[in-house]
Amino acid sequence: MKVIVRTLIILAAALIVVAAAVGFAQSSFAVALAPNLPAEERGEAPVFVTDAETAGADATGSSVTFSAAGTTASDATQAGTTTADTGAADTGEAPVLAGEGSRPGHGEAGGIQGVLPLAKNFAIMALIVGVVALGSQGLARLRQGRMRLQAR
Amino acid sequence: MQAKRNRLSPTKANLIVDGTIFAAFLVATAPHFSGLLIHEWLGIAFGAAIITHLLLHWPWLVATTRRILTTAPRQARINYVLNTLLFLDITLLVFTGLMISKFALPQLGVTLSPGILWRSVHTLTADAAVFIVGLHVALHWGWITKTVGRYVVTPVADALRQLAPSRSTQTTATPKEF
Repeated sequence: MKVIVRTLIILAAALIVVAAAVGFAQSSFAVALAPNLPAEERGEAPVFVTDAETAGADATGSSVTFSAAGTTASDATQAGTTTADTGAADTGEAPVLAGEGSRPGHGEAGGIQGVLPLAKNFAIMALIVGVVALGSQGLARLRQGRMRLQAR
Repeated sequence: MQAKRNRLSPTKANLIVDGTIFAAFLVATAPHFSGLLIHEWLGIAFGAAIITHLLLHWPWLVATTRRILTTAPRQARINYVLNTLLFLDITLLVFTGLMISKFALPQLGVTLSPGILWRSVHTLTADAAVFIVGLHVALHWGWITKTVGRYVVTPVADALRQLAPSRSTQTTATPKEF
């Protein structure tokens, strides 16, 4: 029972963090930070927009499309940021973000080249551990040396 | 007596869980190494492992929260602030990872439209996590060396000594006396 309550407390804390992040993504501050970014790509939740609002053809409002706010206005400004923007409409292929071409597809492992970022991250952490942990040990030894000198 | 002997000590459990989390974190920081599919599932498992880690250290968490503004020593305060930052960072890391998931969530039947913001925040929090985890490990380095020495190095050294009986018989001391 204790474990369940504690887990729920941790999850609630995580939920608050997530809610804050989503709230920030929808805030005017995020809009100010990235004014040219479509709302959907900024992380804003998609909203219901009726056909009547967008085209004015369906005045009855019987058909409802699922769309994201602000996409129609800023899609044109984003042209060129994705590699497949021009071809996606013609071929029906999914747009691919620029720079993803070299990534392994369908979750495949990158092989020996993939070890490099792992080694880099390990080296960074080892460096931090070395500086902080061994540095504090060195300081402690220096203090001990001073104390001994003072005692003499 | 037998049940008591087989019971896992809290320190040993902490060492196993923390060691696993660290290894998983290291692999998860290199999606090119593991592949995106493993990276995503590992990230989800990492979130669950963090909850386990927090549950294992719950007494410290409660005790330090109560006296953080009053009598907590400086080391504990630094630790607390760093752990809070790490919790925020890991929560955002896992959440943004879920938001840009290409394999794990679609496999569960959930499809989300990936936003550039979530991708940016995911990269940013992942980079920050490397530094914060490094600091977290550094602050607990004394405990790590002591516990690894006790539960890994000593048993392995004892086992190696038992494997080489000829050497041990040449000495007057028994392995336990070392």
